[in-house]
Amino acid sequence: MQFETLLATLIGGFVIGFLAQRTRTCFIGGVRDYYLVRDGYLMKGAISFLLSALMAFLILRLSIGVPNWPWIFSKALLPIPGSPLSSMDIAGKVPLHIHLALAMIGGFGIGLFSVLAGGCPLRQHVMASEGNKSSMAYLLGFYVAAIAFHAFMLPLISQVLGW
Amino acid sequence: MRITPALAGFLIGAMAALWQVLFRVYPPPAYGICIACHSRDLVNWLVNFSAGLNLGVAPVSLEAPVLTTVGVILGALVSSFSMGEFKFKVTENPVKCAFYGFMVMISALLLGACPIRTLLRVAYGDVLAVFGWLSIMLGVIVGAEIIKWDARKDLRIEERGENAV
Repeated sequence: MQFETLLATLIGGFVIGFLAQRTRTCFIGGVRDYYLVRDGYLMKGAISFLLSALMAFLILRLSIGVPNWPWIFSKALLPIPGSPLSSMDIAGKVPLHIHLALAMIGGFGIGLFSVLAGGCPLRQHVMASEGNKSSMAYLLGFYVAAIAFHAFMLPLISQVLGW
Repeated sequence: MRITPALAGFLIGAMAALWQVLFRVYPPPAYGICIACHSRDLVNWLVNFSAGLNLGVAPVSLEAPVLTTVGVILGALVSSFSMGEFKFKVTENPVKCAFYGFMVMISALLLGACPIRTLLRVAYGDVLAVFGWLSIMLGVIVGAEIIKWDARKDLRIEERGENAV
């Protein structure tokens, strides 16, 4: 039973939401503010997130053990699983440039639409909790897209690609 | 003590790594925190449970879904109420926002990560995530230019209006 996972993610999420509301943490906003007005206030959050995760993985690797960390040394250039499309490729025969293309298209879409919406998905959750109805509408589209992607787009794309 | 984004980022980053190892938010690796994927897991799990479908979720969420997003909303609610910052408001056209949310989720599922998990994957040593992050930055730059262009257009229309008067 995964009771501990359930509880840990709930409590972890609570802490993240609390911290993010107090600090207006936004990973997209960091890049945007730095690009537009050279303001590094939010960017520092993203940088310290990266460094702290790196350090924590290193310490855990040396003490308890982290599977396949660092990834590049055990799996070379393969992406970490988690993308629904790449995980359909069970045989692992998809060429690397397709993985790269998916990552680049996805990344560009995230950046473009997040900045137009005014914040990364975390920031939108926080703004919705501050009573922002526009962010609540954003979340509605966000959740519907998860179902639509898995129910309709995934079968279609995999058919087109012949997977 | 005043919390800065740098401190918050530090705490969240350490938590992302710890959660995977200590509380088995795994597999896949580098999944301790992801807003898009964890939302997907929760929503799809609920749909599967109630409608008997078989939509994809991450292996960790097969039995019971990860509840990160529920926690985020609760934590932010507690924080905004305690700071007296809760207030119903509309900042942008909701239909537009719903469209943006839809597109961000689709893009995040193509990449397999939201901005947070992209950085977490970079910390895990995933080269493709580095390219993912670079294209996120490119997307932000293009989006920021669109916003700037839009603002200038509004300004031009205003100026023209004043001249007409």
